[in-house]
Amino acid sequence: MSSATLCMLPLADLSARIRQRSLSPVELAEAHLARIEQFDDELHCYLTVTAERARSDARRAEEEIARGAWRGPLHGIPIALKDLFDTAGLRTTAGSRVLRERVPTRDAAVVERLAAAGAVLLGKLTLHEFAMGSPRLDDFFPPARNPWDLNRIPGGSSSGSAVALATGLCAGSLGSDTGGSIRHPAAHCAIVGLKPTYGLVSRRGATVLSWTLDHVGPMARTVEDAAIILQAIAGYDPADPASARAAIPDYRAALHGAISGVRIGVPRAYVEATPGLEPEVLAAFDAALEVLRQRGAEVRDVTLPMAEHAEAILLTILLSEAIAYHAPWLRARRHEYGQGFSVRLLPGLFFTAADYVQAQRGRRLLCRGMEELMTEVDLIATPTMPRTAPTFAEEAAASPIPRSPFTRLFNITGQPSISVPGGLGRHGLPVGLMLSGRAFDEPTVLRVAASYERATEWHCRVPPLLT
Amino acid sequence: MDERARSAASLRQHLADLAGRAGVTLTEQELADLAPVYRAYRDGLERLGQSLSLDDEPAVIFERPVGRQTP
Repeated sequence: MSSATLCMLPLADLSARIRQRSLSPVELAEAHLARIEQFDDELHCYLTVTAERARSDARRAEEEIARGAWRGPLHGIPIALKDLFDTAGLRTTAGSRVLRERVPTRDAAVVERLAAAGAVLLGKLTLHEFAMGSPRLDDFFPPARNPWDLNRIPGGSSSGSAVALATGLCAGSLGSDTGGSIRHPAAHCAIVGLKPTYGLVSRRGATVLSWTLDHVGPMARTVEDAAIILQAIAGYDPADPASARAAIPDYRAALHGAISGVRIGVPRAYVEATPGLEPEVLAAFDAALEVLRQRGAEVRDVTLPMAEHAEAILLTILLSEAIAYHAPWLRARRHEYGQGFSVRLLPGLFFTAADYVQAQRGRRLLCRGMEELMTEVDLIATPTMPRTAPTFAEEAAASPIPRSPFTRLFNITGQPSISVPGGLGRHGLPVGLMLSGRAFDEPTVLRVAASYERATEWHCRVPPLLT
Repeated sequence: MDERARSAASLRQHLADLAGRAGVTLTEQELADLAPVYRAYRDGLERLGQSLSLDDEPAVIFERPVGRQTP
């Protein structure tokens, strides 16, 4: 098998080979390091490559597995992390010049969990500045490029994670998601991104954008791979005040059931009225719904509660909290922020305390309405994004208001939400299908996503850069 | 200075005052660029406010699926 083929295999496949000892973790790490060397000058998905750490982790994994101490499906698997997860002794920048020399002394909770699972750390990945900036070609850290078209953004803010997965520069990754930052790049790069239920995965040691909207979750090439990573990182953490004492089911086991009778709600009127919705995205979405119907799901139209107010609610809460976090740096080091982040952050200066409370009142109404809706359906399906990836020039010229009409709803409510490759749209660029479920019902979200994935081949398509 | 220019200048001064509360000084260009964004955000909050009744309480931080501690 060629090195290129090896690096594009699903994590689950690599794991099985490692466990059977037909694949060496050291050989696998070296294949990825060589591939990073080959492609990353163009893609810019790595901010830091930890080659020696990777070799050391891989050697340890190989020795442990050789003596029968297999830790689980992530043992010996090469992963990379969005560069806002603290890594002890290793630079963690949040993609910003402001933190360009910051070296944490302790790993983030999720980093500790991945290390305990035996994962091999390849490095730290590019992101939009502080998980919210709009990427500019003249940013302090060069932005990651979309491998489907290098002139286009890969989506964000977990941009490097999606690009590295789409090109075989890592086998699994983590992202963070405050308004859609796991799911946007997943959709634009044709990979899988799961924003878990708020409170399921610890945020301790992840750079804050908005305390009450931030989520940490897996990014992968398949739904099964995402389930494997989620299994390793989910669980109560007393150091995260939002962490829930939820039971952790076997997510991988949940993938294989039938989806007959699963009720899927489609907010058709909301989707079709979305400004900028590309007809090709709608066509791909309708085709995806037909696949789900054929698999036995009951697909019906629903009306989303308070959806017309979701933008006001999310922006007011997100930007107010972000200003609280950034205020000291804004006063002292504003010149170090990139333009793409500043234009998004600065409007947060204008919200008042009353505005914030008003948004939280709206949030409660929206959450209550969504809870009622979720007694009628098991999942809500929408496109992940209304359009395919824009060029860098189009992104720079766009309004600074975030354009995330579908994803942000589930940051407000905290429900689990996954994006899976759902077709190709304008210019042959990837489109995502988003499925969102009840709080802590990741098993149903994963099961239906896996069923869709088994019935389609969108997740098997590779970017033209690799063909 | 006509009415429109006076209104725009007044808005920019208001925004400068709001930023000043946080100890941040914005340039004239930034204030001009941010004014339409501010108006859009205020319009959104205004519409949201009209949909709320006196009985609607705010969500408590960490209260959502969240605060219940169990699924």
